[in-house]
Amino acid sequence: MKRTLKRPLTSAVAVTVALSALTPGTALAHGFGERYDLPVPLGLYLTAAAAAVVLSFVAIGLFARSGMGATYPRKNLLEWRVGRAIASPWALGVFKALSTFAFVVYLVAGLFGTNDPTANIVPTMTWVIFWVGIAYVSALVGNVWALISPWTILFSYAETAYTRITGGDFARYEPYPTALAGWPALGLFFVFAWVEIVYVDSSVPFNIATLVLAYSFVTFVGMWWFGRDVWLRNGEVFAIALGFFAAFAPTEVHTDDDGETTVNDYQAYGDAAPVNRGFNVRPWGVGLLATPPLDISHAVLLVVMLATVSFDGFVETGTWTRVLRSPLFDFFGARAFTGITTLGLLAAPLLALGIFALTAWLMGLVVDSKLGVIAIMRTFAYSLVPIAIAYHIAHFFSFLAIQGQRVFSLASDPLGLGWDLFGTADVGVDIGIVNARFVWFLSIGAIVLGHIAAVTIAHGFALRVFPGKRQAVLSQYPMLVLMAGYTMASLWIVAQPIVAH
Amino acid sequence: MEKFLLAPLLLLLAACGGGAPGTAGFDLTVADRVLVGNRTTFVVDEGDQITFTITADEQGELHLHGYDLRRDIGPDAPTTFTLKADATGRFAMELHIDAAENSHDTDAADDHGHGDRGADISLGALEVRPR
Repeated sequence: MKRTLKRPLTSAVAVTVALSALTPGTALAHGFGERYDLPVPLGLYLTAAAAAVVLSFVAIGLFARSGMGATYPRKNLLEWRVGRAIASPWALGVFKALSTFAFVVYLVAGLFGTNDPTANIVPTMTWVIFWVGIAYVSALVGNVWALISPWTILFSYAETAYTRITGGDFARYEPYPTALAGWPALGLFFVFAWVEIVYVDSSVPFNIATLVLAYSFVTFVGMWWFGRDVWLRNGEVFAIALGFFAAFAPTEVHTDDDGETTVNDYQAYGDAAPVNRGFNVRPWGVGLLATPPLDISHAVLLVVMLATVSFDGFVETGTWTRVLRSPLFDFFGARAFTGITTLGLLAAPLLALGIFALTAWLMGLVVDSKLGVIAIMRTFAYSLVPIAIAYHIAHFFSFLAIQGQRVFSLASDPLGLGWDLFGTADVGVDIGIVNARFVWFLSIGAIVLGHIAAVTIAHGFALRVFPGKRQAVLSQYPMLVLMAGYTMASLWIVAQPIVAH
Repeated sequence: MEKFLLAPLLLLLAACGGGAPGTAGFDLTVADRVLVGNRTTFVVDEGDQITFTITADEQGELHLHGYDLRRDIGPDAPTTFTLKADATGRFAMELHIDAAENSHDTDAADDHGHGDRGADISLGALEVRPR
């Protein structure tokens, strides 16, 4: 995301100013969402790269077993009183009410609060707490968005109220076109990514709130027309995207109804009798192996997401500055940043999809598999998730630790009107909270571990879909090259100084 | 197995760094709305006492990001300030020139090409490396 944003706007005409085009040259650095990371030093970068490559083979040799992921240790938290208390309708009701309240405050702050990005809670909530923080929690703890998504909650409130009054169904449950699959989510993701990476005024609270309202409208219409859960699976891009991360997480909801089991199917969980429900802890990563192949639309969305997140980091490097100063600059003139970065945002996912399809084709070729390219892509897409999570941790840890501190002061004054509701309005941001050396080790540690996990999981898939161990190993050579490339790209990005455009 | 591979690696990496805090001094000159010279990264070690001396040909405000340090800069005399590099990281430095402060320089009588517009001039970045 753009961390180097325009000057705080303080005048009454802030909105007008904000909506007018700012050239990238004058958009240099003020306040909101800055990053202060030191690039990872060359020695560490090379060591991590070597470790990733060597440990790939160790991972395959030691960890990968046939039948991996078919079963795994799980412990049902509902067996304990604490687990039952957390999962009780009462506790969930409180979480949902709090989330709804926070969403209302967020919208009010965006629409009616100050348009200074650092004094209003909206940019911090959107780009720090939601997009980075919730993604961390989804990957490392569990699918919290399934519980606290304000769209899911508000729609459920409306459904409950409607049914109580009229006795009928609020949603129309029109049949969802099979061919449409998850493609609406892909389209919506692209809009989101453009706003995040390209749109110069994406830190202006009013703009964010307006876009969120528009997205809410689309989501509610989708839920109303096709049914809530159908839209959550195919159109609500954040539920889907965070669900990808949560497949790695160490918790799951589980139903077991006469031997018919589901994992992380929230519709089934909601419908199941309490006795058939499980809220389990499990090892990190195994959930990826336990998941059936993705629909091709979801596999494409996953790869596009990964490419976009990496591209976001790439945009902050000096290399991108040189791209911006290329002859294309003259063609776009004052709109160079917007024009060229939009082209890059289109090119990066296409490149990633091309590489992934090529890898899948090579995998099929070396093992002479009957599976087509599409089937292989669907099977192996999930194995890329650990690398994405690792990059997310490496790239955003200090950003979250530093910029996340803003919520304390903003909670006391969400609209930026000089309030001090909780007496925390003057809590500052401690930029020394995490030492650069700690962040370096965390970053490369996460990237190397993520790489090992990805290689292991891909091997697990290979053992499942290709006949015989020899074929499975053979099929992994193209995948190893792809994953090494992806890991090297992540390492390279964290070894670059962050620059502002 | 992988533990044995990682252990020496981590030891090796943890061994770098060290040493006592020192001092560092940097002289920056801004002329015609650019930083003079090729140097754009100013590297110090964590805990160092840093002295900056800024010479500028216009009125403006220096802003060191992260540390959020602001100092008025003027053409009359160089500005000197010190800070202790407590927090590691890479922090952008800028010189903000306000339109109002240079309003005597009108569009019509402009011979430098910047009129009475303000500007954000990049002064590079301060890199504070961990010990």
